[in-house]
Amino acid sequence: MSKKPSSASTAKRSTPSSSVSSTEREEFFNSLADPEDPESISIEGLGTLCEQLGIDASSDIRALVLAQKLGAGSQPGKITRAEFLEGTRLMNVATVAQIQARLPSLDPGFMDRTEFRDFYRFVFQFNREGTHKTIEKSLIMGLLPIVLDSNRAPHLDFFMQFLEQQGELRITLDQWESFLQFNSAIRLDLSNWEEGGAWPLLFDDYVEWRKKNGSA
Amino acid sequence: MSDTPTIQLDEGWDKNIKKDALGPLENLLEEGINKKKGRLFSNVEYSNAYTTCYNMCTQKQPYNFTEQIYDRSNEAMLTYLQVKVLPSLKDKTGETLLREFIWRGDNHNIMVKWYTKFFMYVDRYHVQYHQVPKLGVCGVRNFKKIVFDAVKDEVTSALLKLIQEEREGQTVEGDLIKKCIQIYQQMGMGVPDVYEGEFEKSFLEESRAFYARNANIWISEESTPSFLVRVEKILEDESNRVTRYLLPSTNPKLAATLDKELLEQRITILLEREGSGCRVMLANDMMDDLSRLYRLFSRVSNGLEPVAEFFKAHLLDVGREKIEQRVARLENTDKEKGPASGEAKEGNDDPQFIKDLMAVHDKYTKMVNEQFQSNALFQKALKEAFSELVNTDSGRYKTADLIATFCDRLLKSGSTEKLSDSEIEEFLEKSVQLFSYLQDKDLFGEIYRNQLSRRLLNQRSASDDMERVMVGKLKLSCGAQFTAKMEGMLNDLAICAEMSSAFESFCRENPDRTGLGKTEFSVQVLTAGHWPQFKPLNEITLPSIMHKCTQAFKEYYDAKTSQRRLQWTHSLGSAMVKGTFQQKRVFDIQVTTLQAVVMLAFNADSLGGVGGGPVSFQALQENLNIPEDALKKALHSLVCGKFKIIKKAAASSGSGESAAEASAGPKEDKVIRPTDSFQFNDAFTCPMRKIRIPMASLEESHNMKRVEEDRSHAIEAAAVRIMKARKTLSHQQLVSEVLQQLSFFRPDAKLVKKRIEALIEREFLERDPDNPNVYRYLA
Repeated sequence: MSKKPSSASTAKRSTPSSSVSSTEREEFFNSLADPEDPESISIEGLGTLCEQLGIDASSDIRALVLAQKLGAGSQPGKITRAEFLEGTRLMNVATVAQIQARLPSLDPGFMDRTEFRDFYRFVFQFNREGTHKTIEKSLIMGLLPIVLDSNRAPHLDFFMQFLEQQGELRITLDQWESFLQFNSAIRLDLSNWEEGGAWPLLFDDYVEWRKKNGSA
Repeated sequence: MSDTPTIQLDEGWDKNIKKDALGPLENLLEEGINKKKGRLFSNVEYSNAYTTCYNMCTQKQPYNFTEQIYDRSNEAMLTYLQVKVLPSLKDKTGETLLREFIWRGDNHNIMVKWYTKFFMYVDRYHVQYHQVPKLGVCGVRNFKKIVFDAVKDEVTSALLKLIQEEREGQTVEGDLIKKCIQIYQQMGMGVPDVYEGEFEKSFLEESRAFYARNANIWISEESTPSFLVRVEKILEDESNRVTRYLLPSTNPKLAATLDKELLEQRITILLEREGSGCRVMLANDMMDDLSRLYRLFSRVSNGLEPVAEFFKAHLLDVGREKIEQRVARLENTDKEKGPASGEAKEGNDDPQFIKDLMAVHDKYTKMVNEQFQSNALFQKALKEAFSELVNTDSGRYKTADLIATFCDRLLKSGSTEKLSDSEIEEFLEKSVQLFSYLQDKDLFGEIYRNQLSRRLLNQRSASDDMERVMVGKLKLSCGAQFTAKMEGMLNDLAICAEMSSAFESFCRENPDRTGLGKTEFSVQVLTAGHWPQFKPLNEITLPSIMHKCTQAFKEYYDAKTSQRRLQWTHSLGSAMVKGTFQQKRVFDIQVTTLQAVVMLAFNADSLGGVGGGPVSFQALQENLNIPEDALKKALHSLVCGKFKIIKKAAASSGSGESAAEASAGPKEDKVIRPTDSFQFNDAFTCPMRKIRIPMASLEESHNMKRVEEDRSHAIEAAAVRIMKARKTLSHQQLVSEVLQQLSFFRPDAKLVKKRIEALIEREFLERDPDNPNVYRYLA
């Protein structure tokens, strides 16, 4: 489960003085680990880390970027020891202060299209609950404004209004991912929207809603 | 031996040939051949001329005059034509000209014949050797050059005038025209140019102009049918004309001209006229006129398309009228029965409507085959019209339901209509025809299967043969997959009949082992997959005698088979219960298992107790473990039906009003409530010994939800199959291929998209990351 890098390799290399050792990273992990599940860091653990970093986990996108960079991926809402160790190794961090120094690099503005797409997908997968494959509407409506802005998603405001008016709803990964593409493919005034396309039905409904209340 | 004297050219020519042969020939011709009987020249006369020619042509040079004779013969002929023949034609016109022309033509043929005879030697040898035309050919050319070309315009004019007169109704001598035309043909020397250029062209133009003028008049004065009759006659007459005196090659050209002038230019007017156009003809069943219309318009390119359009429109009108009539009937029934009525206002049983549709279909299929000669355009129109009609909703129930119920009526026993087998089969055949137009065939299948199962299990099927016939027809129409379950049901019963009777024998022979004594008990074993899903009601608490029956059978069955699980479906069973009223009147009561269980609960050894005191609804429900809905239906049939063998116990509220209620209330009350109590109705009586108490069905006629679920599965299965084979496909292609694969219903694109999204969620497919319009198969 947890992978300890061989001490032989660390010994052979002449490590630069700024490189953190695996021991330090292990300690870092342990400090954040979930007491009930010491092999992983839970959402609360991440929340603590964010506090220490001075960022608001519920509204700062960097929190999510950080979670991704720290290696989260196999399960929603937590990071395993192995993931964390690898993530910190790649980031070359083992203390809150070191991460603090890296905060600016966590801005998604640096990501190119592909990287952002991966990140965007990660946000969905990470925010699921347990074995559920979908996320309920209210949480989605909380996440979208954090992750997207009107540059990457011109439709965001209208879409949020639209979602507001729908009843209980759960969003699938397909719909989440497609939303990003929808924003880059379809103009805000819907002038290049074609009927009978492959977009998920949710977007057909959105377009209809736009047309009905005269915003397109 | 040539010791005959040498013949000099001029001498020989002038004397023997010209004087003795050519001259007389000319004279004979001038006077008229008929005047002389027999051959024109005797053998002696002929051989003289021939021999002279021969000699002059075989003499040694320089006395060999072959060439000269050849040339002089031509000259002679030309001269004659120029001097005698041409002038005689030039001073004539009209019919006179034609007669002279013919005469001169005949004469010329005779002349050429004799020239050829006289100068045969030249014709045979000189011609070939020197590559010059034969005398026959020269003859024709000479005539053409001198005579024909000079008079052809006049002759053509005269011919056309005669034809015109005939067209206007006068009698003319067709033979004149015929013979002239033969000369034209001859002038072509094997090629049709002369006939076509000098006659036919003008003829066609005049014909066109004539009919163009007249057609306008006729059309404005006559109705379309009458105009068409006229056109048909014209076509016939003109065809005869060509046969009588023109060349056959003119036929198609003339026909084309007429078609264009009389029909093609006038399609729209003829069809769309208000008072007598296509619509009117169809509405008034003017069969002959429609046949004629078809015959004539099929001559013209794109002539039939508009007719087919009218046909389709008319058919839709007629069909829609029937639909409206049905809707009106339903509304009237509503008004009659009133909103407070407990009976169903609109049922799925409307045989009138189905028969109406069948009648319309029959009538217009016949029209397609007879009036329109099974032409593909009309078959298509019929198909499109009926597809629309059959898939139009006419009320709460879909047409698929109505057709299925119609078939149910035909196949059920005990119907009041007495139809012969062949009549029934005919109706079934027509039902399948209507069925073939349905878009939601799967819905029909679902309903039909449910109705079939009820017929079979309640023994209300009139004829097993007829059931199989119908299934066979459906199979032909749709394939074996569609009818697999139906056949399964029919086969199940055939098979289980054997087992049933074996079990019955077993019971009779072993009354003690089974513990059943005299109770007769039979079981039908069904294969679960073939039959609709029934509410089994197998948790109900059976009275002990029934319980013994089921146990006995289970033991028997387990011994006979291995690894089979039996599930009792008490909702389907039936029983014959013997009821004794007033301690003496006995009735045999035919009921369902469920009713029997309820009835037996009122026995002394059961809930009814010795005094037969009231049993509450609750008590029944708890003790018998019957679901509320089913219990209500069973009690309703026993308390509120025709034979009231159970009655409602008086309400025990103790107030004065309740007594009045008790006497007046329960009799009128047709509703079973969970608060009611019930009692055995000892006072029951009835004139018959054997009665049947039917019960409302526990099942719905079909489960639309099931149909919709099946559809979702079908769409997904098709999509996965297609993607597995194709690996990647655009959205539009996938949707279109899925629709192609679904033969029993037609979903809208939205439903297909929904199922595709479901497949994406279940990771059968994914979207291409670079192109959201394209799907990829995930192995």
